Amino acid sequence: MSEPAVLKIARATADAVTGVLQTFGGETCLFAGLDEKANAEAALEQLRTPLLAIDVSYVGDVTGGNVFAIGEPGTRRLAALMMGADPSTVDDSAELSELEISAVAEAANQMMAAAAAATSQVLGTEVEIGPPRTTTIASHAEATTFPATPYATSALFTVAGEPATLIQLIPHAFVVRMRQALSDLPVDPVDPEPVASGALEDVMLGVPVRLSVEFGGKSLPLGRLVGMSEGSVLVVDEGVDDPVQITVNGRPFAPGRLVVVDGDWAVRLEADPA
Amino acid sequence: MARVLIADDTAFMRKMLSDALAKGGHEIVGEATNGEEAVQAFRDHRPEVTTLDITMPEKDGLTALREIVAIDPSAKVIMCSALGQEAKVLESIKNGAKDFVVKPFQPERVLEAIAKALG
Repeated sequence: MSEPAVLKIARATADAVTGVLQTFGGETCLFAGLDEKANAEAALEQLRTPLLAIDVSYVGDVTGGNVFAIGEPGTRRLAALMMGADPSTVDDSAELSELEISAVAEAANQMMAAAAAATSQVLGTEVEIGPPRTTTIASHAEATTFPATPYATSALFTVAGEPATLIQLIPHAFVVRMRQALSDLPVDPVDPEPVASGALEDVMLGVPVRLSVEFGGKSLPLGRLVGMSEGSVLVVDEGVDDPVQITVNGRPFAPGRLVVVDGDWAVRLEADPA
Repeated sequence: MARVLIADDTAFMRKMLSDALAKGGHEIVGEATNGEEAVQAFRDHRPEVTTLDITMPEKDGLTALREIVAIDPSAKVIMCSALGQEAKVLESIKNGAKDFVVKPFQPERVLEAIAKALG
């Protein structure tokens, strides 16, 4: 029987990884399926050696992590995509270059970071990862061992027609937390009332307003500001983990979280608007 | 045009960054593969701009950032990392980074960040 908590973590991660692959290869990179009760060693054996395996471990007091594995033809094609080249023109008889291996290690690094961010989001707690480790697996006879976790899943992808897999070794603590988060979900949230239409409302809805985001503030005597110069540092009362305040024309609108979207600051609402 | 130091643990990323920067007319004064090397290279070359990856072996980018800013409080450092989580961004900015570029990035985004850092 499938465990909804595991499935939710696995799907969020697979989506995040697909997103990163598609930034490199667009529609040539596809999500091909999920095995939510995988055996890590068996999942690797489905790929043809030699393989490139990049793994990261979660940091902190949990055991687990992610392993991205891809064969040589896939490595060549993914590296080509990342360098803006046509993957159909690669030479499969040549040896893999350092740069190709490095490119795929970087791609895996970005996938793992996206996977950790997605896991953080579904768990509602920050998940940190260590630096990636790249290994070449010449044959399946080579013993590859993974940390023992109660749950493992594998997500399959195709990269320019070549298979790749992401094996997730899910720590027990994540599953416990996910079960909790799922049981806390509200049942069937009610849709908000539709906005009444009418001449006055139409005019009101067209009024321009100024939305601002305040990340913190501090009360202090004016005297402390006198004599400040470039390089002076003002520490505000709010901590790094506190929500920011979204205001509309200076009035509180909703609490939010700062995020980065395509290099721009963005803010995610933490609660319904006041 | 600026003298730039690049720190990233993958050779591919260092190449992407140096190609993008060279196209923008910048000079690469050094390449570091971890935070320890980045701090040493910063001492040796005193670059106008430094780009730092966050997840690196030996010493991570946030630690390197703090050490570089301790050496030179006016150092212009741009964090360049796949970790787009808000806590990392805020921690970087709080520790003196001028900007945060999230990978994967477009070369123009890096050039923009450098132009902005140079002010």
